[in-house]
Amino acid sequence: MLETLGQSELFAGLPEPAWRELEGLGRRRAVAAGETLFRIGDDAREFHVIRRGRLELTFPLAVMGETKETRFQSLEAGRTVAWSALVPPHRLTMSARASTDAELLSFERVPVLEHLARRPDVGFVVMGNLSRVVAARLHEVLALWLREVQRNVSHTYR
Amino acid sequence: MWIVFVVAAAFFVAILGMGYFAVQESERERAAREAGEAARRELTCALCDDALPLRPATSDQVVFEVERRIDAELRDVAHALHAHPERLGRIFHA
Repeated sequence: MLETLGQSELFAGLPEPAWRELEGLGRRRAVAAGETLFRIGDDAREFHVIRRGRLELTFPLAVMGETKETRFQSLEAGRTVAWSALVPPHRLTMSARASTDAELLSFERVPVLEHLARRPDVGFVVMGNLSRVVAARLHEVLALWLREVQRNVSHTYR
Repeated sequence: MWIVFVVAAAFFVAILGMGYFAVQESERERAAREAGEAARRELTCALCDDALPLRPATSDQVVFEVERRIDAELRDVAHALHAHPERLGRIFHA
């Protein structure tokens, strides 16, 4: 359970008045276990901070003639979901579903970006945090991909 | 004269028979080898090529196995990134 928005990965390091202001731009949303929050390729108009529960990022995998949603990562309270809303071209790169009943704080892209443009000191901190989130994903996916390439090469040319 | 003809015909038939059975045996061996290779391919993980303990019988079992492998890889990557960021190069090798 996320105690305050200031403890979330995206808004960490902000003074209380700053994250309180941002909190006012969000709306609480309840998601039931098993519910799909969004699908890969959708337009990312809003992003979410998980307040309670867990969400899973998934991707479609073709298995034995069926397409199965396969978990890539499980995210807990404090994590940011659908950060593509803040990064052009604003397209969701994975699908998300709730693995437990969850509560989110959802933010529409435009009001948040306008707020950050008005408050560059806040924008600097938030964009720094966003860079960390995006870089972490990049490192994870890059590591998985490079390992896979290495295995294929080792297997093919042994 | 007839005896020579019968013996020669018997030899000819015997040689044909041996050739037929040899070809059949070789075909059987090739089919078995290909089936073995196919089975071996199906019994390896699509992600890491490790041998799977059991052939997954359903798509749900395949998804479970893939998710388990991804979880393990991501745990390893996250550990390397957070505990030893100076060894970033290491995470790219399984």
